[in-house]
Amino acid sequence: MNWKFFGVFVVCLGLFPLVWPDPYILSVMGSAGIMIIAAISLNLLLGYTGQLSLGHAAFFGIGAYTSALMSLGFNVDLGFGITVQVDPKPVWAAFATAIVVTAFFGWLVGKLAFKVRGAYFVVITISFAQVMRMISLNWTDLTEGPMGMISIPPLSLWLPGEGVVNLTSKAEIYWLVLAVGVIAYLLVAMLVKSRQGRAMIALRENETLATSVGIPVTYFLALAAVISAAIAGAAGGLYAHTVRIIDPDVFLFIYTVTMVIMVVAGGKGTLGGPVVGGLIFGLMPELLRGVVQPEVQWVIYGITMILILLFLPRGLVPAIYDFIAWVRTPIAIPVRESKRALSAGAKS
Amino acid sequence: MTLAKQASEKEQIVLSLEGVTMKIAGLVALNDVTFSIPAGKIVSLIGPNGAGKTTAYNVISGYMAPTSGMVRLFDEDITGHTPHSIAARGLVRSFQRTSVFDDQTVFDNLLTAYHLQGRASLIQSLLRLPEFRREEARLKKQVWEMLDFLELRHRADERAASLSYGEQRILGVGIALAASPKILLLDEPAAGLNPSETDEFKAMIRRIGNSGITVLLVEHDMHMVMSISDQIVVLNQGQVIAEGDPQDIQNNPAVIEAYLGSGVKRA
Amino acid sequence: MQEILQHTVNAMVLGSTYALLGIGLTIIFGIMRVVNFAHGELYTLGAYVAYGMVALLNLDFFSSILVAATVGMLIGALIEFAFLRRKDLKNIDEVMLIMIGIMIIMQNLELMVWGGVAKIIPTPFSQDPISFGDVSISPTRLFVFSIAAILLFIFYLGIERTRFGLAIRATFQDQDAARIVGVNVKAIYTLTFALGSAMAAVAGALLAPMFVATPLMGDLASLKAFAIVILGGLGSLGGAAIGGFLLAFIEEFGASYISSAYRDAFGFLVIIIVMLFRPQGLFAAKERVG
Repeated sequence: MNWKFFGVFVVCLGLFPLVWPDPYILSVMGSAGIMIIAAISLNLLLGYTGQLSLGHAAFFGIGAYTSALMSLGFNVDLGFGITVQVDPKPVWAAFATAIVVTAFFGWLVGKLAFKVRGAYFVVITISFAQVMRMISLNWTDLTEGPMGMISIPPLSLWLPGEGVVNLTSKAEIYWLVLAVGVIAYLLVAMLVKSRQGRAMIALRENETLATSVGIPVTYFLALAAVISAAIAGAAGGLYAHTVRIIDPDVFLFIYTVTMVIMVVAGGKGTLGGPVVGGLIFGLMPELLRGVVQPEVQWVIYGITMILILLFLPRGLVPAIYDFIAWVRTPIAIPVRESKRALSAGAKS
Repeated sequence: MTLAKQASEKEQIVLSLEGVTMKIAGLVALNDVTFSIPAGKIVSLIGPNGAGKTTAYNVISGYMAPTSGMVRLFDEDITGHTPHSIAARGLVRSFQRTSVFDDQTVFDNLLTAYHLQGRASLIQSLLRLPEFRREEARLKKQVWEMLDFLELRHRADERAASLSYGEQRILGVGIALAASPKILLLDEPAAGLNPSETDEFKAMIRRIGNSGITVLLVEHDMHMVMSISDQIVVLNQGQVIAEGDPQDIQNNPAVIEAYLGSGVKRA
Repeated sequence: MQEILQHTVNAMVLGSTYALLGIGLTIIFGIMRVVNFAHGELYTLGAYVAYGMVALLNLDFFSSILVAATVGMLIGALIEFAFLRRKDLKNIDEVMLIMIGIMIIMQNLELMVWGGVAKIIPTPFSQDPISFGDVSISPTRLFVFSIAAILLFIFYLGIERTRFGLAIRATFQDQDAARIVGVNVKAIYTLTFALGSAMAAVAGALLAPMFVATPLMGDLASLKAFAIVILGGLGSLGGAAIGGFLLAFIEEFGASYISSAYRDAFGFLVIIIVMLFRPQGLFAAKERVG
């Protein structure tokens, strides 16, 4: 039933540009989609494995910069007479490289997560993103610094009858983002409903017990971080090749916070959570644009986040499920409990 | 289990302690403790507070290395082995507290507990290859069997945290059983259970014993111990003061003395 | 040599305010287990309150610092009272996320009120540096250092020598025990949060005249406060003081001798390195979180 729903949902999203080919709406949906992919990746680490990574924008940014650099080529002097020169690579190859490079950084952070937990892990992930931002700001030979990188080539696709097409129109970008989003969603869905995913959830629930049933903690923390980072890197790569301009601001803490709000509001540790939360918080800026200034919009974000944390701490998706279950179930006296109450009553 | 099989296992010793002495910070917690546990029996290790039960439990499960003496599991010397390696040899302990995955369903709790029986690789899992599907089906079948064994089938879809305390304990033991132990160690499993929960718990321990798994209970609730043990080992001040079936123990003057002396009148 | 002395003086001035910032954060964490993401915003608030008092209300600079401290204290108490008193907030991650929400709200309110343009806070001191031999220091910096040093000393006395300090230390070590011996833990929580916030606000009011006040200055301040606290060991008061000076020295000397562009990055690199080799911090062997 869930899969049918998912299929219908994806088909509806796929048909959307045909029904409503407004370029503005499509570009809004496209950028919301990229953030949703990032939120899906964060959810794997935050929701399923229980590691609050507040440096997730770093993976997004590394993906964006790697993909841009590989597709544009670069030539940097590392000092000591060593120069590294990379000629422009095909865009899809650059995109794939970005995923691999981000996965590697994910592995590093995952290894770290085994050493430090809780508040320490949070601070170290934030620091990681900050260092990345400083590097992107200051290593101008490589990254062009605060000016950012421009003229990043778009992704292309071979289509029957039309040959190789650059994906530059709003509708093409929309479909591209949707395709990557569906892959990311399915990847996480398949993962969490498998032996590997159960191990990750077990770590979140009760690490001592997880160890005692034979789950190797280090391995699964690193695995979750690698997959999560790789998906975030893909989102970053998509961003680079669709917006086609990137600057050091992609590493800003506020982007991590946006992803966190999406995951927490939608429901961390649920598959639908980042999608629902991402749609709400990805589209809200556009709805509020023109009505209020961006600062007010952020204040609304903050208040929404606090209200959800205080009153729906598990997020919207579980709340909706609970509501449906509540509507469907008539109140009945649990047989077993009542029996026990009777027998206990008889004894006393 | 057939009678013939029972007879052949009668002589087999699963676990034995030989002259185990444990000194902690100058205090003698265990003094030359020797006893052995035959296969398929429910054996209880009892004694008043401070008798050395917990130390013995820790020495057996590998959390402490004894000062001297030897612990044998299936004729293999496991003295000083890590808990992990001991567990891999078939001796599994159930944690006293928080021994379930709270936010998971009862079913998923057990499915997770079968982690080590899974072989599916990441790729097989992600692509839902036939190996993965076969394995999932097999594991799920095992979970249902375990749920029937624990008499928790009707609770399968509930969150573990919403179970009663007694049911959580039973689920905790189920998680330990999923590692298919040959010998199961339970540390004060009845602590905090109400009388009807205790009865259910006892029934489950009997079922475990009947299925051929040796059970070692560390317990000070005499009522529980007397009614389900095949054999009892009594510790007092770090020494074994009595060993035998419940009848013998109940009438043993040294045991009565030890318990009365420490002010426990429940025996 | 003269150059090194000069950098040392600069680092001491910076370090004294960093220490205030770090202690404010660490006392809140140590007692309440709250990672206060709004810390940098309280620092910003302090800077703007000082600016508002001096530039708009023509109050003198010294009183404006007092006002900043008071406002910081009140806002801190309000945050604690409104958001952190709920019993079901056990999970450290959830509290962290709530604090991030508060951070976002405060930062954008500051942007709305003050706009994105940096504000310069006038001080009554002359611009001419005072020279001691080869080393010179501006009067503002000397003043900032003196006030910060005095506050650190008062704080030390308050914690070590008063009954209130005793109650705080007791709660720090063991909440339940403190409750049993009659410490009003709830009141301590509110007071701690107010005190920690006031220290951040004072740090902001003191540092702003040395630089400028901008609505986004809190981001970096929060992160630096984390760096300071981690250097010293999360939850260690003495560690936070030393961590503050250490970070200032690392930044000052790193900027001068390695690369000034990466000035703000040194702190984070140090955090990552410290975490890898000594996760409990350089000075505290107290505990780990998680």
